[in-house]
Amino acid sequence: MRTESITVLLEAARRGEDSATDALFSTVYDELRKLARSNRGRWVGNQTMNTTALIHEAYLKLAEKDGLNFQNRTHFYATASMAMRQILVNYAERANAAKRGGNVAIEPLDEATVISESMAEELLQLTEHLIPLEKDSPRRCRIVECRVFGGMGVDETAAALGISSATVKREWRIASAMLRRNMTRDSGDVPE
Amino acid sequence: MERDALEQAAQIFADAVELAPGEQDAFILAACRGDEDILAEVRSLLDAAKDSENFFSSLASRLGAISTSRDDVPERPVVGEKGLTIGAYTLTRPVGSGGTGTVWRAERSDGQFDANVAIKLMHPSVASSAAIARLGREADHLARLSHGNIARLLDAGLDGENRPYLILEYVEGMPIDRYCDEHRLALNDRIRLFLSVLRAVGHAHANLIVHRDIKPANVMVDDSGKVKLLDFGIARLLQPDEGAGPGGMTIEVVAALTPEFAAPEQLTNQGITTATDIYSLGLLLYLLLVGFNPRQKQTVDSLSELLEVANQDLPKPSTIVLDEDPLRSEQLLSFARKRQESPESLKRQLRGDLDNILQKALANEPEDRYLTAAGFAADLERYLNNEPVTAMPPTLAYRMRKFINRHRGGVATALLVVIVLTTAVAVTTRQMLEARQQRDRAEQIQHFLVGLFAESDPNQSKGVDMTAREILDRGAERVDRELEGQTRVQADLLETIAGIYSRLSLSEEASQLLQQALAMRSEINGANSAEYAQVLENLALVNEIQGSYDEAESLATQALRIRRQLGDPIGTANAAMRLGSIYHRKSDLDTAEPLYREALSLARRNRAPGDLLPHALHQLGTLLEHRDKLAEALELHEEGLAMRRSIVGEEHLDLIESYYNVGSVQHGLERLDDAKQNYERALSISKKLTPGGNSDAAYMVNALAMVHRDLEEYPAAELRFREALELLHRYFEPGHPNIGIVSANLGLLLVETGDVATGESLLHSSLDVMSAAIPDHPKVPPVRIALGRLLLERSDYEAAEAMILAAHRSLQEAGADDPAHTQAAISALVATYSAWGRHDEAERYRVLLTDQSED
Repeated sequence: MRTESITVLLEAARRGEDSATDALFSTVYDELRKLARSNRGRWVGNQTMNTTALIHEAYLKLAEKDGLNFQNRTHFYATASMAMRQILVNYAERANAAKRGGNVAIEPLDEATVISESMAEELLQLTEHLIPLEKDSPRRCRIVECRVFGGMGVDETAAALGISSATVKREWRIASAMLRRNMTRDSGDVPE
Repeated sequence: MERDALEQAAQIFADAVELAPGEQDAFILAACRGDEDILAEVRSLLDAAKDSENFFSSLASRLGAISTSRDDVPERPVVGEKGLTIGAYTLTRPVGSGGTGTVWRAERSDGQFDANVAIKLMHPSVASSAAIARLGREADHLARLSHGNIARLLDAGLDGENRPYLILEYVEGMPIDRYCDEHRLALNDRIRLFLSVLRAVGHAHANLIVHRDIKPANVMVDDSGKVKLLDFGIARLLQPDEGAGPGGMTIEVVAALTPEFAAPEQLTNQGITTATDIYSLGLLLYLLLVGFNPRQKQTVDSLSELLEVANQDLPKPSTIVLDEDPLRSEQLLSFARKRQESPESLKRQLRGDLDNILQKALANEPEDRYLTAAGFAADLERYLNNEPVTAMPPTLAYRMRKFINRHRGGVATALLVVIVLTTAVAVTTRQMLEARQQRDRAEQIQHFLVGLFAESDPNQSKGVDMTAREILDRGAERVDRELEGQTRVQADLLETIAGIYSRLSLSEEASQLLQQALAMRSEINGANSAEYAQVLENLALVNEIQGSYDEAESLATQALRIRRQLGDPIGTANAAMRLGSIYHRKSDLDTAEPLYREALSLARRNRAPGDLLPHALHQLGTLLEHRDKLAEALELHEEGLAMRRSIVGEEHLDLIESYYNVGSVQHGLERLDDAKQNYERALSISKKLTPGGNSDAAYMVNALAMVHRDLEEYPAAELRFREALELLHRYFEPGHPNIGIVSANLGLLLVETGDVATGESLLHSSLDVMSAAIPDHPKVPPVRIALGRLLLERSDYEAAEAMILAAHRSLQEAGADDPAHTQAAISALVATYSAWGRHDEAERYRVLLTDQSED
């Protein structure tokens, strides 16, 4: 599965080949995880982890040699944002499980230490609301992933998803307001 | 609700959110067409939109993703490539890219020994030529910074492509906040860890290196729990350009620093000092203790927003840990747990001392913060040892500022009160016996003074607003009553309060207190002690101000004798300066000069600390200026200026005097452009340090106006004279002699440049003031001559004659050596008598004219 180069995968994924999309996702996902683990004690640490730097590094590792064009590059970033969401959620779940203790043996979880506990809680809360959003509008969910997990700007997001910047802006507004509203409503706080 | 309806609401929301808030309501009412459900949905989305952007950008930035609110920031490419050699090292892999460049991990190219370093390789555009020059200059200095808790700068320079690089010690570890959370350090353990940060910063400060960018990512902790500070002093190397001034700040510059951890003066581009680091350290400690950086929620997108943020008071830590907001309280609960506390117990621990310590470190005004990292550390140690801390809730400075705000205008010298209070405490205590006692006493004094100012607070004095004078009177009384038996403290306080009295020109009161203090000192320290001599010198100063020169002379002479006996060169120099200045005032320049010279050479030989040496240079310079030895005077003033600049930096009250002195001699030497420049410097510092203005600024503005006048820049001169006059009117009664003098300057200028009506009326009022207050002032005759000329033009010969004769008489009488004005008076008299037809008298004066072509 990993024999194809990242460029080939990206091109195929952009043509809509599901298997290529999956392969691309898992390639990027593996690379990101590996990097996250090895960078745990990274020299320039942010408060938690530097997702943008990780994605960038993954990009350098996987795609540097291929010299991707802008379209492919942004597509790569979008995929990486999605993968990053998955990684973060996994970390958060494990961190949460470790915190609850009980029968789960509390062992040092390499990845789990990448994010703080409060961040884990926040992330889990966010994901809980991302799932119905993704069902209703996958596009809005991709936009949120690019912007929140990938740290991408409006134009980059637009290029990555093949839609206009104006659409990204409008849909981002809707998605972020919905998520925020649902999150606060959930916690019993009705915004006045 | 149906999916369609939800989607409809979402679209209406997206349209509405683009509109101005005032138009939204009408729009959504119309768009929802009476569907209450949709309307409610739209409204709730609009509400959520108010903070959704903030929420997500904060989340993204905490995840290390670039803030979503910055769409227009162009992406920065990785600088450098794997395998590139820099110095003795080869880049192995990028560790991270930031706004300024890329950090690489690198290893020795020769593989000689296994030493990893981190190399910061900057984008060439980051470094201006000024920054590159600075890099060379300062890297050496930084490289010498050697402390176990500070990551070393090994080398710096430019690579083959002219990109600046820094080679730094490679540090493994994690940011301190994460370390604390992951190890669930309890509150006190966090403080202990933070203390080692303070010690490292204190070491750097002692070497005159300010970090400028303290934030968690720059404070790493390794597996063994050892703290390492990264990037010390490096922010400065990377700063675009200095000296841009507060107006010169751009949002790009701001983006280069870390706004969440920046001190107010960094955000407003004011002077950066060690106090700047103290503030950032305060934020770091806040974050470690509470879990929030109080600044973090604020995303700053414009300069005006930034300035607003910079002036906000931060919430007390203890008030933040219990929040009404359930979402927030959820987070707080988790923060508290990480500190092995409950929110309630956390609040209890923070309230009081820790609140006060953090508030002191986070004071908006740099001078209100801890003076040093060591002071900050000492207070935290006291907290850990359950000893009383020095940080107090409303600080002395805060109370004084409130006091001054209430009395603005009424008490022009209030600013001086602040200066005197803070310096006097330091000065009197500096000479105290041992350190511990000293500290206790300083604290006692401070408490006492805070008490006094607390009383002046209308809230506490039951609505009776007290004047500065009343506060001091009460203070003087209380010294006797409340501190009975503590003679040393009493004496300190009496001297302090006397100092304030004297700055408030209440010399009589000051003198009384000093007499009391003198008696005490003679009892405690003996009549031959330095302490006794100190009071004598202060008393001499008060007498000098009062004009009792003989009394002042005898006191200062006695002080000098004691100082000489004690053999303390610095004390002797101080006393000689005091006595010299008394003779100077008495115009006994011959006696004053050797005293100044003695003080100067003592100060030079013994490398006197502080301002003594520059002060002596300036005093002697001024004396020589009076003797017309302008060349030597200029040399001395210039040396004094250079010295002060090296001691206090570019912005300090003392520099105002220095620049003014240099300018004044240059003015005398007719180096007008230089003079102008130096006056302007003096003025700009004065305006910066006392934005509300002060009476001294009026003299500088006046001097500047005179240079403009001499340069024949008349409109500028007029503007400046008016400004000076306005300042004087703000601080003095209309009858003040200085108002007379500046009115005369302006009046003469206006008459000369054509605005005769305004000029004449100014000259009249100026003459009224001066002839009442300073009839012998050299400015009086020129005013009379000018007025006489105007009367002559109106053919009012009699009045003109009287006016000009009066001028001529005083020019003759005072033995005034003012040939120019004497000639002007004579020539005006010739003109008057000629026009009047009294040719004999005209002829009698005409022969006195040196230039016979006149009239």
